[in-house]
Amino acid sequence: MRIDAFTAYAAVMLAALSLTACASREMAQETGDPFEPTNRAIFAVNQTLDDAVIGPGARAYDTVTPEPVQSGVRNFMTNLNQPVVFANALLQGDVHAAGDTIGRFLMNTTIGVAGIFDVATHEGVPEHRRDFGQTLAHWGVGDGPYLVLPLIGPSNMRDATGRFVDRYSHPLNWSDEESGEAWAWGVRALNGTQIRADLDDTLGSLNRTAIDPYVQARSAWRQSRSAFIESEGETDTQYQNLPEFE
Amino acid sequence: MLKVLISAFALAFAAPIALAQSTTAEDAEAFVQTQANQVIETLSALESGERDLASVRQEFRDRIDELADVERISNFVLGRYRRTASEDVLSEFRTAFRNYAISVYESELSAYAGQQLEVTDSVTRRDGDYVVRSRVFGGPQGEEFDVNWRILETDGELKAVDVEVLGVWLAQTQREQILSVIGDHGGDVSAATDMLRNREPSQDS
Repeated sequence: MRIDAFTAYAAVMLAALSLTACASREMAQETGDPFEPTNRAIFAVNQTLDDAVIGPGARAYDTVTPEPVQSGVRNFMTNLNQPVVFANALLQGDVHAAGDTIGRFLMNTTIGVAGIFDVATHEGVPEHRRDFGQTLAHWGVGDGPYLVLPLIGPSNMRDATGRFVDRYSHPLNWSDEESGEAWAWGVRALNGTQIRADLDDTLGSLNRTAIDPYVQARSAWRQSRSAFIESEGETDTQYQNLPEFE
Repeated sequence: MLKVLISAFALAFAAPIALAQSTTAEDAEAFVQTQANQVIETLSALESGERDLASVRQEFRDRIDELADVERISNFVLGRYRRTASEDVLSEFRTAFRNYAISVYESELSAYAGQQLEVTDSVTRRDGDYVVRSRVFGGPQGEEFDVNWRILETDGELKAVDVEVLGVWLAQTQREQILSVIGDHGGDVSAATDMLRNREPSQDS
């Protein structure tokens, strides 16, 4: 029996949540992080893995891979994700974005040689970013408790659910047999390596300036995610909710 | 006589209004662009080797109060604990936070690689409270991104209190970290002071 990564994550998370549910502190509840002890433990493991393997690997990849090749990798991965964007644009009722997305996918997959070249942007077809966590937010679902996922990092109950659902519309998972093949895992590993390499400067800057790295990551992720989810309706009123400086 | 009274009345009420509106959104935009240009000029001199790191660090230490309202930021990050801690504890915290803020700034100096900043527009939240939007470009890999500045007026002077990059506001993130440390230590502000002293970024970068 093959156990895929998300099933493994789900099992780990359920076990972890059940162990720490009783240990939740009042303050953690206030911060929307009732599973903080477990989240901190997973964060520490992720950090250790990143320091030992993932970070050095991404930096080595960045050193030996010319920028045009990395650009091709980014384009390929973005294009591969377009069916996910298409499905969520439809679920959010954004027919215009769905049309752009299917257009981009067809254009880049054919003329753009399997998505390696972003011909669509050159032709003025805008790129959209959508996922099921955002769709749930669009439908009025709250974000739920903060979670740190193994290897993946910060999330919350809504967006972790969204991530799980999105896998069904991603081409790498269209075939049960193919999705477990070595080449499919190779593509996922390449995607992760490219993302980590692109984040290296930002993560380095965050690490240098952190007071409490765990809380910093939680705060930064929540703000960034919230900005992404609200980005569709961006107006000048978005700044009215900023905190007061007495 | 009536004209004199009306004029006096108008002056008496106009003066506070004029004070309250002594700055405009255009002033805030100009403030960000001017300060950014000066910082970029200094960093370019550092990058080209015209100036050494020690002199650039000293310049930033001398100029930080022109750029940022550090006391207001340190009060903000303390949240409700500012009202419960003693003045001595608060004073120690403010000193530690100031040193930490300066060292955060300094730790990033060497990362400069030719980027430029251009103010694009601004939003006025209320009189004397602005968000100035800018675009950073010209880095080695051609990356472009938005940087937004929260600019507040205090006693007629404009200063930055927060900056947003990639959807993340720096002071808000620092506030969450500091409140978490204080909360974990039963409301003891000194715990955050100690943490700040221990977490000051490396000066060697």
